[in-house]
Amino acid sequence: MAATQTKKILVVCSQAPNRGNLAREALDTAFAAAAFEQSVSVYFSGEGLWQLLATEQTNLTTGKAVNSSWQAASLYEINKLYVAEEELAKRLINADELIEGISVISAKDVNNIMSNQDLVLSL
Amino acid sequence: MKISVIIHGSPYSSQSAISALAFSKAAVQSGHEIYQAFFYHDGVFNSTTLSIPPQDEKFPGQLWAEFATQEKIKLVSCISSASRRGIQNEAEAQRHDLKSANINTAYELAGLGELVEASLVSDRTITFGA
Repeated sequence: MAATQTKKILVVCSQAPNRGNLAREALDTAFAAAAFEQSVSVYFSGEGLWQLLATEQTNLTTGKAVNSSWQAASLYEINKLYVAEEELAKRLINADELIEGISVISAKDVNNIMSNQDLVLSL
Repeated sequence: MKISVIIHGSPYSSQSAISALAFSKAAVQSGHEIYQAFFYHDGVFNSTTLSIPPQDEKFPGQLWAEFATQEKIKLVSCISSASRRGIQNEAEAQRHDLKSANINTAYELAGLGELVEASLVSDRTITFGA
């Protein structure tokens, strides 16, 4: 497919890493959209935050943890990986427990980011 | 308006395929166009041709096939999701030396690029989650 235009795409990851294969397939979606030269960002919402824990080493479904793949997102020209500080606090996760390269923003900024997209893909 | 839909849900564990179908029928009746239905994650189970429900029921994936044939809508089953879950077309079955293919031929097996392309040309892309 020849990408004739660029859209701003936000992939929203809201599933815990061990809930089936959705975390991996959300990652595939984000990386595929970036490969087709779209402007891709990712927002981790709710239990999706657990995908970013630096200590996660395995996945119960496939054996492969997604955190190290997310860490490589910048190599695939994915713009930003966002989490909201309020959501981290609710789960007693400190930002320093996450993999590197995560942008911690406020819940208010999430609204701005979402309304600024052409397309939001929720997984 | 040109609309694409994404289906994440397995036919018997989720309302996803049926909700997306009801939405798409209503959209077409209202004069909109459904450009593509993209089956991803467990949604690919809708594209099996091997489901035989009781006679007074219809398989959600078959209902989609009939609607899509009638309205000339492209149905795409994601190849990476499908391959993991045992949904294969002729080419894949031959490539992996399998006994048979099992995809409903109303569906095309293709990559995530199809989803990206559909969302570029569609005015709206709507996800029906698992």
